[in-house]
Amino acid sequence: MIRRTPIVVLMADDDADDREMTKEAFEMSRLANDLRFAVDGVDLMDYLKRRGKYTNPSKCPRPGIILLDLNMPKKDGREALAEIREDAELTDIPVVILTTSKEEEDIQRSYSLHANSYITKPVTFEALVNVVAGLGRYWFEIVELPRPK
Amino acid sequence: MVAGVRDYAIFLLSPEGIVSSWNLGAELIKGYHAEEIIGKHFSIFYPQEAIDKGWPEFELNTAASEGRFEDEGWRIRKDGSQFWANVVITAWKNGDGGLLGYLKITRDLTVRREIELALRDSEERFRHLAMSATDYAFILLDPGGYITSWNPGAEKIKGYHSEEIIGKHFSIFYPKEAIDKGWPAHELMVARTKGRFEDEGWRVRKDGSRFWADVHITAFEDDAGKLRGFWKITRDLTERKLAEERLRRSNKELEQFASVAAHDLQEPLRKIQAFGDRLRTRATSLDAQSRDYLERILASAVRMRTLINDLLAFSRVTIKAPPFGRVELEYLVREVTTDLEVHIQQTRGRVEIRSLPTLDADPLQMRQLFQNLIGNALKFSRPEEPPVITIDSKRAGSFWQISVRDNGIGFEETYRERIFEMFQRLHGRNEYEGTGMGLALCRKIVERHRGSISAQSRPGEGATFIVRLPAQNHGGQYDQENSYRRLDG
Repeated sequence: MIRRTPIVVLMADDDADDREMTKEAFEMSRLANDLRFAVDGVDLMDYLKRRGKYTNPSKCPRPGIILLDLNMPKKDGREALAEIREDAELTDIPVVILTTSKEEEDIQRSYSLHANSYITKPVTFEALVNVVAGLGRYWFEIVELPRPK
Repeated sequence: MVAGVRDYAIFLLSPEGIVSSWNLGAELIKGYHAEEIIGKHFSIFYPQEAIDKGWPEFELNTAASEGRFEDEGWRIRKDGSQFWANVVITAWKNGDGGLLGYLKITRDLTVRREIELALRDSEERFRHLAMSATDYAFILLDPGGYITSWNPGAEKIKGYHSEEIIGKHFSIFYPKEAIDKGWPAHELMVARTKGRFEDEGWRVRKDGSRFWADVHITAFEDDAGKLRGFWKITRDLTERKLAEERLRRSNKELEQFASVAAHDLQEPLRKIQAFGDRLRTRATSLDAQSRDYLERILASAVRMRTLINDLLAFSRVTIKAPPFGRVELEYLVREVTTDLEVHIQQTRGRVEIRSLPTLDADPLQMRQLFQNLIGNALKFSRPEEPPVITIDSKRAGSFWQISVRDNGIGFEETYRERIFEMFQRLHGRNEYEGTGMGLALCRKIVERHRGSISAQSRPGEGATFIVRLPAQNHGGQYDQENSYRRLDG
């Protein structure tokens, strides 16, 4: 398998601490990905559709995978996921739900909206590092990702 | 020909009132044979009070002057018994207007009168009932559905005064959609064929406003089985329906509140745990005392999260509760026991299921119930004695009585009610872990199933928890999909 340029990972999460910890977890797992952040559902869709403050394409490289929190202000992850799947340009992008919620209903609904997988954020940092390392191994080494449109 | 008529007493009287002829009907109705009565005065047929008042002469005089007299009244038979008679006396005159005598025709209407009296009596009672009922609309409809009678309750509920509504068709009370669909006619038809019709639905008042009605329509017939009309009883259930709506909305709000509270309350705790954990890994520079404080902080955060989860589970028992299905408790409890296998092994314990029934219940909640009861039994075991838990059941009337007995540390009788209260514990945090919500949750689940739970115990002699559940329980809608049974069963 040819190793391409590191894939852009776009994480949408309204919690600054979670964003920071995830970034550190990526570093601890020695994943060389270009990690980008959106702070809520509106920001996420602006990034993906290259509008608002994201009109310059170099500021918003297309992500190879999206890490999506469910509970965010302005537009939550559920709505954003539905929009992504409705957009022909964006629907191919794998979306991994990464949220604090472990509610049965949220899990079911996410899969119904065609999320690729669902992860409940672990509490301890060590566990977070494991999750991130696992994500890296699975999505960037084991799995073949779709070619960007 | 007259002689042979059976149903009418037809006979002649002389101008003085003497009986001068007789017929079969007269014999049957009044009891006298012709030989005994011809020649006697016709006042013999009257009760003494009537004779004292001079009725017989009055009737003859009226017949003489006006041509005929007709009346209904009591008459006496030969045996002294009374009967209710319809009497017509016609004066029989010759060509010059001279009185030749009278023709008297008498009919025995006793039976008909009794029926009429009974009917009037029951109509009176109905009317009295209808008039005094202000919360029920009692109306009478004719066979075509036109209103023939009204009551204060109908005025109160529907808004019309009796003068303006009597004679109108009862479909005036129905919303347009119902009339278009032919509902009023359909309801009368059902009442006609099945005897009665019952329903709940929207009705329209005089002012156009709608109310939620509980309606009973009963058809009534005369003796011959011919339809005489309908009784319609209507109750205004708007209040109850509004209350149901309010309750539903309030439950929905509570549910939203609970899940939002859970999420938002958990969030700071999560941070405490996350950063506390990171601090712990870098804690080499902290002294032992500081590390100890840190551990206590983290332990408290864990406890708080457990508490919030327990509270959420408790609130969900009734708010987010799916309808009942058929549950094989034996199978379910065996699964719960398997889930607790690790704990059972650790304590070298044993769970014995003697017998358990199949009943209507919420499988998830039954699971929670037995998980708590068996989990408690394992937790509160005596250190020197491996826990033995016995589960049995027996039928008690329309209920199943299920007992979960253990040989653990037990508790004092005085606490047998208290243990089911929220947050109530009998031991300190250091002795046994727990939030004090387990038994409160059990009770809430059992009560949602319209059952009950109680406990018996003696310190050092174990405890027995008795759960009573109805054998039949169609709580809300019965849900086939929610049934829980062995896949091979």
